[in-house]
Amino acid sequence: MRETLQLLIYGVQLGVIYALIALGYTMVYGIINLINFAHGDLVMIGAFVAYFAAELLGANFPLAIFLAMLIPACLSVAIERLAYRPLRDKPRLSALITAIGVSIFLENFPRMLPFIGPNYRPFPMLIPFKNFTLPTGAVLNSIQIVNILVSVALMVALTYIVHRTKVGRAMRAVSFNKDAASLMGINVNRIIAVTFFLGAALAGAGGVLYSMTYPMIDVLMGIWLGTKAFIAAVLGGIGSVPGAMLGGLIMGICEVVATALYSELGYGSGFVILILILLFRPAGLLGKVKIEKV
Amino acid sequence: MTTPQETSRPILDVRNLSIAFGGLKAVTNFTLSLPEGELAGLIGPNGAGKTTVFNMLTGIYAPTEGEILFRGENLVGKPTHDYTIRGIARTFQNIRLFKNLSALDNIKIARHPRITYGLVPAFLRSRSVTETERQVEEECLVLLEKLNLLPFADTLATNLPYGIQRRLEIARALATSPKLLLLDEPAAGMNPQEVDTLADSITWIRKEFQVTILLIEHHMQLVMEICNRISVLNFGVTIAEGQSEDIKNDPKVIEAYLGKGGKVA
Amino acid sequence: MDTLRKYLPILGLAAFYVLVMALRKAGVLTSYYVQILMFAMINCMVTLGLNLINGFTGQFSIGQAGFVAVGGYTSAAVTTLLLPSSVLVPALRPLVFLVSVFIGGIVAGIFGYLIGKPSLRLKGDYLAIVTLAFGEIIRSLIRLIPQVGGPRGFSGIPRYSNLLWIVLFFGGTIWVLRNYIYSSFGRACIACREDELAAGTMGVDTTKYKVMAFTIGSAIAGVAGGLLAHLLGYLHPDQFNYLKSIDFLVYLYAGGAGSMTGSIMGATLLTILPEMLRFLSGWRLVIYGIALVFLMLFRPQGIYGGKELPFLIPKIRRPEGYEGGQ
Ligand SMILES: Nc1ncnc2c1ncn2[C@@H]1O[C@H](COP(=O)(O)OP(=O)(O)OP(=O)(O)O)[C@@H](O)[C@H]1O
Ligand SMILES: [Mg+2]
Repeated sequence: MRETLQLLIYGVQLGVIYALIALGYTMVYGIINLINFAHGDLVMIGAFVAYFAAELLGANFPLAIFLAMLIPACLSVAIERLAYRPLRDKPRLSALITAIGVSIFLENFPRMLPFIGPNYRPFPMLIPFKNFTLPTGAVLNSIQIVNILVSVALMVALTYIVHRTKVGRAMRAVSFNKDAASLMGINVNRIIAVTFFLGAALAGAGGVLYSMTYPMIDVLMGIWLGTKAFIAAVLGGIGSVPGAMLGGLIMGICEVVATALYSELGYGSGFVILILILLFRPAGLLGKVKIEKV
Repeated sequence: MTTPQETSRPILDVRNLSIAFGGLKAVTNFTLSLPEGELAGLIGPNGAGKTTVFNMLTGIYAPTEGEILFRGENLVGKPTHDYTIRGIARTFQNIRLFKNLSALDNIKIARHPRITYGLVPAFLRSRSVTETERQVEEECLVLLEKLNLLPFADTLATNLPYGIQRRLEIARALATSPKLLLLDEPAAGMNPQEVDTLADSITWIRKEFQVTILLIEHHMQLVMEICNRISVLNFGVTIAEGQSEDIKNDPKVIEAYLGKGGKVA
Repeated sequence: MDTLRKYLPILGLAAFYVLVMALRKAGVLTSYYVQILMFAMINCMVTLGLNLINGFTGQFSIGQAGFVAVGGYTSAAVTTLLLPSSVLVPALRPLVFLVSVFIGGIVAGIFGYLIGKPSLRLKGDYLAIVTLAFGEIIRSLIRLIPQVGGPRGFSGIPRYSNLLWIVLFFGGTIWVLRNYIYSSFGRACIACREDELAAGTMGVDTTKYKVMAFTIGSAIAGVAGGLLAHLLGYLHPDQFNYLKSIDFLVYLYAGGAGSMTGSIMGATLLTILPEMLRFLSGWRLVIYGIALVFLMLFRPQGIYGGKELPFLIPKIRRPEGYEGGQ
């Protein structure tokens, strides 16, 4: 019982991070049907921004995470403008290939920079580490608490933006039907840019939180993290915001439990769960199957 | 061989066909019996459920209830291609040609179920395959010629003028060697002159290809002129059925169209 | 004249082989370059198989490396564990190699069928994710099989592959695929790509042809895997991770989906280019990434998308009076 609870804590902590990253995939997919392969690399960039903010500027946690959200977000908007937007009316997969190109660039360019390079770096302690023992005996540490609180706060904020603000309404309209939204006077390009901005900001935050938990960062860290978050998004139903959150949690908990059972299983478990879920719910847990109107 | 009883058996016998999308009852208890060789019309205001009937008659939508007896066999529950192989072909309200293929290739795909060589000969392109392919090419060209489409054989469907696309879609449906041809608003977007030609073509096609035809059309003149009998749908319910004269004067039909503020018969 | 045209591709391939061998003998090409050429041809094969699934049938599979792994490991198991070269008289070795490569292809095809059958009812990108997941699961499973080296990798595979074999398989793949695509089967696949619903109303059993394309594409990947295994002499599960699958995807779309010529160009060019850029060391991947973005921005349809070299399209003689615009 105590161990189960302990595993659950680890799982939730990892799950909320996956969920944060998954949101970016799902929002971009929902709005322009693009699997943004470069999204995982924005996670890495977020982690490095926080690293340098802390090491060079001596930034504290709030400042570091703020910068780690802002810079990838701006970068993401620039990428959308330069590499994806020109291809919006072109065969859908050409944008996917540019996304792969962007991803290869984002992984390899920093590698060549003398102050980043290919090696692992220890990630600085952004908040003091402290253990709390729960009445049941399970242990919760300060990093886990911050992770979960920050992630939940960001997800609540995002949900608020999507459902309660004008921009959010416009986002939903654009993802439902671009042409109709444009006829209603919505600036589609701007809304797409906002979507990339928000998604990347969450990815950057995810990068920081992940690095606080596993304090070793390198330029390739975004690949596997991104892949898992992406699976989480698909599992929850890609295009669905609550789906991404649910998917992230499921992925995190499953991975932790599977690894605890047998370490070789950790990696494959997410994929197996994904397949099982898709076989029974072909559009993911909270996704809707579209019936084509003839 | 054929007893009188058999010849009088309808080619298509639809019984109590119903379908709902969520709460919307798009079609309710649709019943229709078509004798072989008939040219029948299916009319009704926008959103009445006409296209939905076609979608059920081609296995695209699964009816919630009812039977589709085609030449005595109930087809409900079978996949779309089985409907085609058994002899039901259709066109679409919004043209659905294979846009990036030539007119000829569009027709060739419709011949697909009639081509019988095996996978291994296909891999090796054996003599029998080349021979069959040559025959198919010829058949398809002959069909295109019959429908005055030969000059467009090598043009990509997407580059064809609208009227030609409509005609090509009919040709493609005919290439499946159907017994029953379903035409969904073939006159949509045509000018009066084109509509006249179309009327002649449809009656000609019925004779030439010996098909039974069910026609959805908003163009009343066309329907009244060529159809022997007409069914009228409104809100998914059949409100009238009979000869064109009776339909024209049926108060319920007039009301359905006027009530919608649509075209008057 | 016609006969000449018919055999021209074969002559071309033979000439290519003779030329490479001559240049190799003359010392112009080092064995390293020949090796790259062989990799390029193997990559071409995998890409051509993927093209059948994605380019011609309009599905979106991104787990191709998994099938290369299945084929590679299976055929290597045959030649290394079942019938090791030590128990064979030398004359039998090529035969065993040939058979093992085909077995690799068949087993990969069976995997393709088993995976394709349930997952092809998923639409578009969901299919992609499932294929990716299966690729990764296959890789995890290989790690669990100690007989083929598990996580340490499979070594000691006899190096039976050589330029001749690879040229033969490469040519054979192109020929067989061309025949398939321009047959009634291929047209059915293309119809699924163009408009699945309309294809159904034309009497095409769309599920059947999607599964068929998936199976054939996987089998070709398996054959390529067999050649690769016996070229490298060593296999490791991590060679086949999903980044490898992404490579094939890039070859396909950079070359132009739906064009066999495009697949050959894309795979060859993008196999050779990074090797050419080796002197740039780490920068070459930076350049590769940028090049990919620019290629897609300026040629979204890929290098050769929508076109085909004439010898890849079988000619059909039209009856008199119908020659028309041909
Ligand atoms: N796949 C679907 N999902 C939900 N509703 C549908 C679907 N297909 C059709 N409908 C609804 O069923 C009703 C009938 O539509 P249908 O297309 O059959 O009308 P129609 O008679 O062909 O009209 P029109 O003359 O405009 O073509 C409409 O209300 C339509 O919105
Ligand atoms: Mg309609």
